[in-house]
Amino acid sequence: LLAQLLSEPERQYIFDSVQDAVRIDGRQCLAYRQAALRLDLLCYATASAQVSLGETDVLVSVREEDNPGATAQQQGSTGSVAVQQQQAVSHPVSVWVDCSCLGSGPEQQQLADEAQAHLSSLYRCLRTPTPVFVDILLLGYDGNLLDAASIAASAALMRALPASLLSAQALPLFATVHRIGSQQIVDANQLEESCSMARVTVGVDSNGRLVACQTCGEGSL
Amino acid sequence: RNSQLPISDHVMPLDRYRNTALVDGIDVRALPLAGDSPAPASQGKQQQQQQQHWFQRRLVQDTVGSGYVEFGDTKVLCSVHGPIEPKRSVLTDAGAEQSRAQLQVYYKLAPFASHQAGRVSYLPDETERRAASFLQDTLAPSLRLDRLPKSRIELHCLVLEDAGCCLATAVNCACLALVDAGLEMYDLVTAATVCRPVGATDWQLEVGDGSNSCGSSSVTLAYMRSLRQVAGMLVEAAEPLQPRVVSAACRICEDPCKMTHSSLRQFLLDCLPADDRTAKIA
Repeated sequence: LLAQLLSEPERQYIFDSVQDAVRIDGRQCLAYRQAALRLDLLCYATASAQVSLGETDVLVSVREEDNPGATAQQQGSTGSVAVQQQQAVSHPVSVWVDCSCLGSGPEQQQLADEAQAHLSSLYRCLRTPTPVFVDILLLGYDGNLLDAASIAASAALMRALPASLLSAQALPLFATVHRIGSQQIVDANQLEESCSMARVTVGVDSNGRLVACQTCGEGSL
Repeated sequence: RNSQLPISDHVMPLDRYRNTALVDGIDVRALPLAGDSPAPASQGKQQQQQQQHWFQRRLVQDTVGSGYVEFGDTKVLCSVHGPIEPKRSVLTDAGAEQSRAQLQVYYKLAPFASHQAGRVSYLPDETERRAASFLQDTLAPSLRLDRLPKSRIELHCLVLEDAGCCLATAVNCACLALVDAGLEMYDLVTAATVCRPVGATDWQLEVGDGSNSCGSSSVTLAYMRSLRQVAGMLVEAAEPLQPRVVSAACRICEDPCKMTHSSLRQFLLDCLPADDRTAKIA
């Protein structure tokens, strides 16, 4: 990834300027980049969304699979036809993250694995009657994959799932806060992410309640 | 199945295979004799909270360092290899990348380890990859990786039995293995987990007795006591939680972390030969 080729003076420059609450693209410490959301791009998906947060570009497709055993008919031993009962099984949301647009190295795979683990835990409370598959495709990366992916995935899921399931609430979103020195910044781009020691990723629903929370990074808080 | 006898004030040397030398304040859980009736199911919460860790080091012969921790019925074994040749990738030409050792953690549940899930596959799945990255992020702050440039440290963590509180026990065991390997660390990292079933209001310390149900929220905190810093935190919520509830849970986690820190430190000091003990730095 690009940030690994950052030299030490550049890293120090980013670090020092963040301590003075100045970010390299001129934002405030707690300001997000310009975000754009587009819906219904893919015709074969139940719902889809694309989010671009700065240069980070994420495309999400949500597919709802029909329950394959719902209307199967079986021939019983006595010759009578029995309809297989559709059981009221609740399925967790299944998430897959693909970072192949960035390359196929171990760092990209680790990014994808981490994002998949985080997003699966974000939707852990959500149970659906039919299997739902959320496929997240990373088209461009400039930091803050989790926030962008959660916006896109939640938007697509809200389009795909019936309103009764969502109980009139918005699905949860991630907020990632990086710690650089003694300052906290939000929505770090790739260069700032390489300078940060630790980050906290919090999944919050529309009532302000926590759904998931994890610290990452090789630093302590 | 092992059942728990009430913890007595003095040690009963029923266990022939383990060293029963008693350290002040640490009680060794006695194994039941054959023919003993199982302990009554209603054991007090106080007794559960007094459940102690069992530490052992140097279990694996061919490694630089190894550690084994039992917490209740949960058993975790860690082994450390390193410093060894670093993994080369195309982008590691920058000098900054080579100035610190790379820490690589592998985490695996043994196929027979899980009570609920039946046989676990021999390929790491998503939960295990997540636990490995959590361990890596938790242990890296306390290791002095800058003392070992151009090298790699591998930590293999194997869970032999998962009866609850698995991740926290793995953190404790990995810390023990790293100390046993002689790697410099800023501080011992100890972890504890509290859990709360859906709809309940109290957070309870998760102990390794298999009583944790899958449908409860849990907060795992990894804490460095001397530095007073949090090395890692993982919240798995089965229902949406208020932020102050989560921060209250973290505060509850601190005390078990500190207790584990002191018992681990005491264990390590007692492993030193007696004549070295006077020369140690307190």
